[in-house]
This record gives sequence, C-alpha cells and structure tokens, in this order.
Amino acid sequence: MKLNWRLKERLLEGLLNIPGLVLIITIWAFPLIVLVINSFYTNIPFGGHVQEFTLENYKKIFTDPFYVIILYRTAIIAITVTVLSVIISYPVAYKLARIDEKKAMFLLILIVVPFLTAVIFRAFGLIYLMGNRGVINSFLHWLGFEGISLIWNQTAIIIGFLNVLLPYMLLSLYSSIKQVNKSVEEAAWVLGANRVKTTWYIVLPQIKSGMVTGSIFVFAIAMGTFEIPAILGGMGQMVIPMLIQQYVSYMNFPGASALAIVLLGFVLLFVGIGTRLVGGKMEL
Amino acid sequence: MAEVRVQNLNKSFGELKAVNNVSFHAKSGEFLFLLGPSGCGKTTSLRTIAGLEEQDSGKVLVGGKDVSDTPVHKRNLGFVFQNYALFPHMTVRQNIEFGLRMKKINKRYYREKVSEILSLVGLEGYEDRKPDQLSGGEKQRIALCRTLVLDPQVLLLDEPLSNLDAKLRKRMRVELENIQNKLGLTTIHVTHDQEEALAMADRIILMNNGSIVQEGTPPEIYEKPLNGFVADFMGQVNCYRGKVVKVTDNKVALESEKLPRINVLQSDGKKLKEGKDVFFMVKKEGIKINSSLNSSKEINSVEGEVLVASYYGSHIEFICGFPGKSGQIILKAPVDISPVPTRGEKVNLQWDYDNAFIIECFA
Amino acid sequence: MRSLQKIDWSWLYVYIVIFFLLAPLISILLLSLSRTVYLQFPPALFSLQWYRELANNQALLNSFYLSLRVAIPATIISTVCGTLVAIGTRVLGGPILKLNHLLFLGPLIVPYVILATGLSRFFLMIGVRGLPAITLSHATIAMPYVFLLVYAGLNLLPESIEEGAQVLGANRFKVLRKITLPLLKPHIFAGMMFAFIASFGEFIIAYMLSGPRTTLLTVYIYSSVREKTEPSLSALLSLITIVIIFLAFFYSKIYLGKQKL
Repeated sequence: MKLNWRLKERLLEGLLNIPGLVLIITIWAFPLIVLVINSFYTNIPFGGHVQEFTLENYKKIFTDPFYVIILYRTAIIAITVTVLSVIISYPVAYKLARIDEKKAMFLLILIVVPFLTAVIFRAFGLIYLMGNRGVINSFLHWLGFEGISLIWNQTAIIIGFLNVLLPYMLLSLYSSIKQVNKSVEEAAWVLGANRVKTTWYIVLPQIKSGMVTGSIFVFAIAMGTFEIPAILGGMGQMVIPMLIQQYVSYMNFPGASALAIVLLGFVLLFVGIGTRLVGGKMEL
Repeated sequence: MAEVRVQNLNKSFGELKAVNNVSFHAKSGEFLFLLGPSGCGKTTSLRTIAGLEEQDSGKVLVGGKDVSDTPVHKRNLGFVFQNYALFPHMTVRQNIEFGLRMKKINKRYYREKVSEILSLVGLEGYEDRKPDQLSGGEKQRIALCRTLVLDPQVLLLDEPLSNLDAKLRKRMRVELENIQNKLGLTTIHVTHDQEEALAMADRIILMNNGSIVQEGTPPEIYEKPLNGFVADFMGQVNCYRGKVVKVTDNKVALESEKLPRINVLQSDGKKLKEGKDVFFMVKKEGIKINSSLNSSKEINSVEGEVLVASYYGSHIEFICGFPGKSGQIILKAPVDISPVPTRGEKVNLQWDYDNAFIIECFA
Repeated sequence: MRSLQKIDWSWLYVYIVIFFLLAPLISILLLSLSRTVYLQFPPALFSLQWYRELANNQALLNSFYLSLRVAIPATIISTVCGTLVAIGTRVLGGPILKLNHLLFLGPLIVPYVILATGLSRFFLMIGVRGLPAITLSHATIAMPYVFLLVYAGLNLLPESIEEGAQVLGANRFKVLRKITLPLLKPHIFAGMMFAFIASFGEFIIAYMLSGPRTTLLTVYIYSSVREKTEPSLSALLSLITIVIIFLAFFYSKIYLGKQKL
C-alpha cells in the first residue's frame, strides 16, 4: 500500500474535477435522468401525471400516424440538410484550404461571423428576406411579379438550416482538407487523374473523419433545433422540437419526455453509425 | 558533491520492460555516461533518478539517502531536458530566477546570481531576451544556467546535445566538459552518440534492451568489448561470428559464414581452443586496401571485391564483399590513397595485428 | 485560357455561398437603416430613426440587459469550472476517463431542446425559476466549450516544460499556477468567448425556463417575429453584429498572428 507523494499529488489534482462535476451532474445528467423516468409515466391533461411505469408513450409515438409523420418530417429535413451541407460546402472548403492562408483567413472570418451570432438572429434576418413582406418579395413586386410564399414550407426550413449549419460543415471539412497533403493530389494529377477523379479517389477518403464529425453536428442540430422550423416553417410544418415545446407549455411532461428521448435516440443512432464508419473514436 | 546510486531498478510500461534490474553508481564528481540505442532504458533510468518516473521496484540513493519517497521538486537534482523546456512566457532572467524563487532565496541576490551564471556560459547581457529569440545552442546554455544557479549536487542531462547541429555539438561538448570540470559536479549524461561518450566520459555504462551490457572507462569499452553488440555499437569495428579451426602458436585459423577462411595473429591466440565459438573484430580504420596484384599475405589478410566506395571528405569508405560468402567488410581509407580502387575491383585487405582481435562468445 | 475560366467560376461559387451566409445579417443591417418599417425594394435608406427608437424601447433594452445578466455569470462559472476540469482530467484514465468525456462533452451532442425539457421539470421540482435557473443552465452548456479548448491547449503543451518547473523545485500547485495556467491564457480566453456566445445566443432553454419578467433577448426576438414588427430590434442586432465583427478581426490579428504557444 503505497500512499506516496505521487498518489497524493494525483488525487489533489483529480479534485479539480469536482466543481465541474457537480455542475454537470446536477444540471445536465440528473435532469436527463428525470426526463427518462418521466417518459414512462402517463399524462393527466392539465397538470399531473400517473406515476406508473408504462410504455404507452413510446408505443403511441411509433404507431400513431400523427407522431409518425412528424418524426418522419423531422428526420427527412435533418438528413436532407446534412447531405446538402456536405455537397454545398465541399468546394468552398477545398478552395479555402488550398489557397494562401492569409487570404483564406479573411474569408474564414466572414464565414465565422454569422456563426458567432445566435441562430435566432439569423432566423430573424431570414424572415425579413423571405417573408411575405420581405426583401425578395418586394423585389419581385418591384419587377411587377406576384409575391410568392417562400416561407412556411419545408424548403424554407431547409434553407434556414443550411444558412445556420453550413459553417459547421465548412470548418470541419476545411481543417480536414488542410491535413491532406497537396503533393498527394499533385501526384494523382501527374498520373493522369482529373479533378473529379482526384477528389473521389484521393481527397474524399482522407477526409472521412472530418465529414463525419461535421455531419454529426449538422444532423444533431437539424433534428433538435426549435427556432428555425418554428419561425420559417410555422405550425403547418411541425417537427419534434416544436411538439416538445408545445407539450411542455401544456405541462405534459410525460409526453414531452418521451418525444425528447426518441429524438435523442435518433441523434445517438446517427452518432453511432458515424463513428462506426470512421472506425472508432473520433478526434475533435 | 553527492554520489548517486541506483539499485536493482525495474520499470515497465505496460508490456514493455524498459529497465530490467539495473544497478550502477556515479561517484562523487564523476562524469558518468549512460549510453545506448533508442529504447535501451537510459532515459527512463535517468528520469527515475530525478523522480519524473516511478520505478516498479528498486532504490535510488543520492548522497547515501534513499530519495524514492522524496517528491520531484524536493530532490534538488539538476536536470536538463533534450528540448531544453525553457518557459516560453518568461524572459531568460525569469527562467533562471525560477528555481531561486522556489527555494525562497532572498530576492536581493537574484541579480548577481543571474549575471554570474550567464557569464559562466558566455551569455552575458541575455537577461531580457525571450526563449523564442534564442538559437539552439543558446537555449541549451540557458537550460544549464537555470539548473546550475541552484548549486545542485548532481547534474542529470537527457541527451542535451542531440538537437544541435554537428558543429555546435562539438563546441558545446567542450563547454559542457569545462563546466563539469570546474564545478566538480557529479554528472550523469544520457546519449546515443558513442563518439560523445568516448570523448567526454570518465566512465561509460552501455545499455541495451533495458539492461546494462558493459561498464567501464572509454578505453576499456572501446578496446575490450565484452560482446558483439558492444563492439558494433561503439561503431569502429567490423564484427563477425566464427569458429576456431586450428591454433598454431599465436596464429588462429577461423572459419566463418560471412568471411572466407582467415588466419589471425593474436598475442594470446594460444589461449583459444579449437572448435570454440568466437567473435572476430577488426577496426574499420585499421584495414589497408590494396589491389590484388600486390602480394597477399597469409596472415591478417583477406581477399575481397569492392562493392561500394563513398567519399566522406575526411576519408573514403569502402564496402567490400567476398565471393561465395554472405558477409561484408567496411573500411575507412585516407583520401590520398593512390590508386583508388574502383567498384568491382578485386582487392587485398590487410590489417595490423593490434587492430583486430578475437574474443570468445559467451553463449 | 480554359483554366482561367475555371478559376473564375469556382471563386464565384465561393462568393455566392459566403454571401448566402451573410445575407440575413446584411438584411438586418439594411433594415436598421431603412426609412420604412419593412425592408422594401428598392430599399428606402438612410435613417437612424430605429436607433433612436431603440434608446426608448425599455422592454427590448431590458431583455438585452437580462441576457447579459445571465451570460456574464454563466461565462465566469463555465470558464472556471471548465478550465479546472480540463486540468483535472489529465490524471484520469481507463473507464473513468471515458465517463468524464461522456459527461463533459455530452452537452455538445444532446440537443438543447431535450435538456430544456428535463430542466423545466427539474427546476419545477426544486422550486427554482427565472434568472438563476437560466444562468446555471447556460453555465453548464457552456462548460464543454471551455473544456475542449483548454484541453486542446494542454495537449499542445510539452510535458517537459512542466517537468522542468518541478525539477527546479515547484510542487504541482505552483507549476499549475506559474507555468501551466499562464501558458493556457489564450486557450482560456478563447473558451471564454465561446462560452459567452453559447449563453448569449441560446434560445430554447431560455424560452422554456422564462417567466413573464424574465424575457431574455433571444426570447424577445422570437416573440417579435411572431407577434409584432419591431425595427428597433434590428437596430440592436446590427449593433451586436458590428461588435462581433470587430472582435473577430481583432482576435484574429492578435492571437492568430502569434501561432507559437
């Protein structure tokens, strides 16, 4: 039994974890456990719940068409956004990764600035652009056309998410591509591969982990964000986060909890698949 | 100055046994070298003495006292890291003063001590520079200052010269030796460079795979290697394993897989018995190369064919092979050799009897 | 000649994407300077009337003030806790380390709406509501950012520098205080910035935990979009955006100029 100085030092340094640990357990872990527990209760409308273990909530979510449609819509939007974000941001990320760093820095800052403003700031801006009395419609009116309804549909939500989430994917791809040695690409060119082939056979395989990391963040946010669908999609485009918020406002905690856990399940499933594709732990 | 003693030190990292029952000591004031290839356990042993690693078993004694239970910061041993580890956010002055602060020495002595130690290494006036403004050699000297200003009893050096270029290294070698001499510090110096060890050490401890292979003064190790590894590592010899075929007076006939049959004249050749497994070693600098047209001798000579000739500025290195045999021999010839043997040429290689020796293999 | 054409197209694409990302902010900026309530085409500029109105918009200014009242303490708490955890994580190993990563990086993966639901129930249970609840929640979600950035900084720090201090007589505590923390300053500062942004811009937790008198800025924006039009809001948002732009360029000049540790 060696209670030597080394052990003492390590223990004291380990104690540094305590403040953060207390915070994370009380404010994050515990409420999530409460959430899981609540998801098995039955709701009594207008307050209260029956504290009996039941799987009813989950059954309803997966069988009742009302819920299934919402689940489906949420997932489709999230997947579409994820796929589009990769396709749209790849060329930009590649360009920025391959030019002189000083020039890239300026453009990166331009990309990061909106990223640093709140999601809801940008939702606000987007509504003014796309709304029925917004910039685009004003422009169309000015040109003599009829206004079109750009918002309150799924496309608007996807555009909104892309606006918010492209920077995530961009930065993730950018740092991955930067790590790919340019001379490897040049070797491919010299051996006769054109740009497309080089990208497909040489670059993409090497940036897999960057793509997966970016996709995980994009998917998680696209599935779990309230502001964008609520503002740009409206009540006609109900997604899970909006439904959860509605239930919470009615104090239907069991219902809200079950929905939240299902949402979490989807996100974790995606994370799991993603990490598997990359082969184990990813680095950030 | 304190004596450092290491007893039965053992240290494993997971499956890897880095230090295997190692015992040695550095006498007071001695300049001891731990020498060996990467991974031989020399750095781990050094760090264990400093307390930066914890041994699985075994003792470390400094000045007769067991320091295993003393925390690193209380051991008062000087330690210089391979990458110098200067504090990047502090000036040279602050770096040097750091140890003084930790010892709670009165601040009014700082200025004097700092300038004194800087003059010792020839870097007066560098007090207010920052590490990123220093060259490699300067950083190394500041790392030394940081440590020496505390008047340590022992100085531990972890490959301090390895990150310097060749010329700087030679200069720093001299400086280091001077300082060690002047201050009479017990010093343990870790390196993989056998030339460095031979040039500077009072005594060398040669390690391989976690164990000590041989211990001794530079001449002892260089001239009387205990086995093939030692001879090979010290770099100056060609080494071959062979069998004694016949012994006539001091003339020993050897058969070997790698060499054609040779006759070696050795002063104590009589002692070797027929059939014995031996190592045959011949110094690279001790072999003379001639075109085969000259008469080849029967003793201390072998015929071969030039495979490679490389110009090294200060000498020419020849690698020769032997028809029908798998081995090669490397020799260093003076640049003014004439005529210069060319590739493919059949040559005759000869050596003086004191440039080669046979030692018995220890199974 | 063909290659020249190629370059032009790809740069055009890059500029279009970047413009798309900046479009909402640009429209807010233009709206704040517009003479009309709605942004029209052609835009009727220039007027500072909304900035003047902002000064009188008590409700909006109050929500801004409340957001700061939450974000600043949340930043301080999360920076302190996050930094300590990053340092303390180094002594952990094996399954405990995995648990540590799960707990402290979890908030980055779990969508806030899920946490917000649990938090509403939780705070209801313990009878806390309003600003303290939001502040603590924000501190918790901000902590992972600090943790990540400081942790990354620690990994860049060569072990030998701390060992060098130890060998010169500093115990662990002194090493942390005089060597490790000073060298982590840029990382801690970056973490602080991220923490503040995470808190200031957070919506759903603030929304679910808010009450009639605790409307933060993000919640105010949401009601404004749904209910009434408020151009003075765009004035405030423009100001905030401009501050962010300045800080971003300022930061890049200082910290990215010195790439060395």
